[in-house]
Amino acid sequence: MSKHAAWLRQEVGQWLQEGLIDQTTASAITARYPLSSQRSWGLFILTAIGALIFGLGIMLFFAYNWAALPKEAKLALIFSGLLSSHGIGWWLRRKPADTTNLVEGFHLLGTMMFCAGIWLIAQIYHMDEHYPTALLLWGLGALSLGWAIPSVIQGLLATVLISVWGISETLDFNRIHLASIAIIGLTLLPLAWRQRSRTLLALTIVALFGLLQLTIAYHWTPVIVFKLLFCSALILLAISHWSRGTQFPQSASVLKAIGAFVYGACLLYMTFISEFSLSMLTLPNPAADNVHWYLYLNWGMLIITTALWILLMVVGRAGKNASPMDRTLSLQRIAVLISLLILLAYQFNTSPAFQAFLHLLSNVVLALHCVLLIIRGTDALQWRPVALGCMTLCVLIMARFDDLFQSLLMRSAAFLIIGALLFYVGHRYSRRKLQEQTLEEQTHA
Amino acid sequence: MRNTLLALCIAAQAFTLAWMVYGRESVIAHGASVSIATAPLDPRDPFRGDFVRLRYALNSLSHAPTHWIPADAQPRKGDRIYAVLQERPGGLHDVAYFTNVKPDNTTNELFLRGRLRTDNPGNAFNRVDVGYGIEQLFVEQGHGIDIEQRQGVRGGLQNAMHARVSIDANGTAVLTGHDWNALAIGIEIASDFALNRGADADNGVGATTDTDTDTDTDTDTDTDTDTDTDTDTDNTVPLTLTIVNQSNAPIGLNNPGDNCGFRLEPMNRIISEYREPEGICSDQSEAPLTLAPGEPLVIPIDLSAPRWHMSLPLADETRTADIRSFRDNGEWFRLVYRSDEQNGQVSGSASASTAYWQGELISQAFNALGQVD
Repeated sequence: MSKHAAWLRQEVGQWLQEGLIDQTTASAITARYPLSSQRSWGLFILTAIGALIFGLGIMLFFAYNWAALPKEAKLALIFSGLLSSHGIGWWLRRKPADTTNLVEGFHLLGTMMFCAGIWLIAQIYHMDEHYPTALLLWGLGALSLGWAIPSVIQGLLATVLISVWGISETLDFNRIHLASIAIIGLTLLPLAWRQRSRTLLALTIVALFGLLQLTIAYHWTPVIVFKLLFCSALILLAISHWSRGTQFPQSASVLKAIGAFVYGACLLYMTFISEFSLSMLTLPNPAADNVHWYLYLNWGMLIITTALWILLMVVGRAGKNASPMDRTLSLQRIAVLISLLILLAYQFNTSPAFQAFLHLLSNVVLALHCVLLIIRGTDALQWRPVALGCMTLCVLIMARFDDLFQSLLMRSAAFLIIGALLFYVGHRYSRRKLQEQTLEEQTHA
Repeated sequence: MRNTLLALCIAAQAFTLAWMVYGRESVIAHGASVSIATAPLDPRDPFRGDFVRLRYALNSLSHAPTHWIPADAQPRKGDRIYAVLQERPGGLHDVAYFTNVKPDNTTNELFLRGRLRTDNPGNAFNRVDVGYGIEQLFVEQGHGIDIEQRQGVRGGLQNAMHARVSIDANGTAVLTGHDWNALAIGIEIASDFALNRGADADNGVGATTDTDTDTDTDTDTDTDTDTDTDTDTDNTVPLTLTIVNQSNAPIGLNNPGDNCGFRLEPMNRIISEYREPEGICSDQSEAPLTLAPGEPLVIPIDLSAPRWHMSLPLADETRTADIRSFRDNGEWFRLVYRSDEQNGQVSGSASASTAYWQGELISQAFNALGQVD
């Protein structure tokens, strides 16, 4: 937005010189689109990276572990480093000038010194303790400052550290670990929302996804992981629809991007048929596994997701006077619902013939999504949906190269069709762009 | 309000570090100081620099009896384990037994609090079953290798490191330093260590069960035996034990009879079925031996001699033979000198015994194939 406003100011200046507009109009236009007062993210990232690298340098400096340096001197250095970093950040906070980046940079350095302190004390006293606890302590230090400053970069650091803590406890110590999920979900996700940070929101959602799936797959059963991923992705997509009306409308793009990516990957997975993929799609055998809680979770997630999407279709259905883009969107939602119904159908003990039908239907739904993405992209003259649709379609054709198109003639036909389709897409996109330009010229004329 | 919150968070970071320091310093100030024998290795930590990884005998549950409560308890990875210590000759501490219940403080038993690091303790060779938080010694960069060199190398002389540890009443331990054993020990395996078995060596063992040992008190072995082995016996000694005094003062050792100051024993004494045969080194009088500073003591170990035979209970009988002749070659053995239990034969006066060097010397482990740990 800031980029556009800057461009507009340049143009307004030019128009003023050329006499196209007067000073009053120019002032009104520039007042309508003010330059954003948001911070410089480039500068902020440089400051943050600088603080991180400086902190790492200090840690490595202490890692040398001079025998000649008494432990009292080492401890004095680390405590003074911690307090002075935070102290400078505190002092800068009170200055009237906009020093947000520096303030966050120094507090980040302070958190790095806190980490250096943990490792240094462990070094001084030859501690060989449960190492994930150090990650937890460091992460909690960053988390508390993330809320206190408040600071997105501390939140990002805390998310990474708490995630690594959870992964270490799960994989290295074989512990059922829900604390990391709770900390991220209850403290860092709200911080992302409060700070309106898309980056932190994306990282926390990915961390929650990863930790939850890892915990379930590692400790209980991997058979419901796929369905949980699928349902979670669709829930994110549904929430993205409603999040536009919240105080953080930018969150919609994050939720939609993550949801669409995971949903697309899941749908592509459903187009592969094998014993393993069927085991991930179907319901675990209750006779063999007894009725565990995860069966209820499996059904609960599927039913809630289906209900949510039916509600979304009812609320967001395209009326009679809907634009072509809205109609395409409605069709995409129908395709999502069909894919959900396919997954539901897999949960019943179906025959191989019916499973083959569901497999074929999954291919058709993915192909339909690709075509709808291309149509929507060309209608709106957005290259990203077009490119995504074309690439996914190519991936689908390549995936089916062996198991669907066994004869050379079929393979040849598939390539001819996909090649012709891509030519047509390119032609349609260019034509739409031309039409749009002509319409604009006619309007100006 | 926000400033207060920020100040509290910064104070919490400083307080966390201060609490870590206080916890360790209070153990050092008020805890009991003990020495425990250890073996160092030299890795590196990206954040903390060079450190020496220490391995203690008490890391392995197979090293001492276990007193689980209840008796059929199966401790799992992550569970608390307590190693109750006992003082050994020479002031070193070793584990008396392991338990899963915290020992009563009123008994004044000194114990280490650890955590089980594996679900299958004791099944793997030389692994850490229980960690006590004292397994890392951080040193200045480049100095880890010095410690390794001082400790010695495989097949050469090795000097045992003694870790100095402070332990508080709850079993929390802090590693405060280290020193070195005054005696270094080494074994040399001959190139023709393994037995050259005959074609009919499929009896599980090539020796008869009744060994008639007639041993002189000279240090040179001179034994008569009716063992019926299929081995090629030549004049080469398969194993040579060397002890060197690395201190600046003379050291007295008690080594009566046919090197009866030393014993051959399986590495895992608790679980191994190998035993020293009855009657070996019995009725030996005390025999002082003084090593001047830097002086080596070289002892050829003829494993085919009955003095060094081991007994193993088989399906129908107990067989006593050269360890190399047992078909089960998976066992690891060590040569050990312990000032307090020299085969129970020390009969000298108390004053004479205390003049000897007090402590234990343990060689590197070796197996019947001539492999050295």
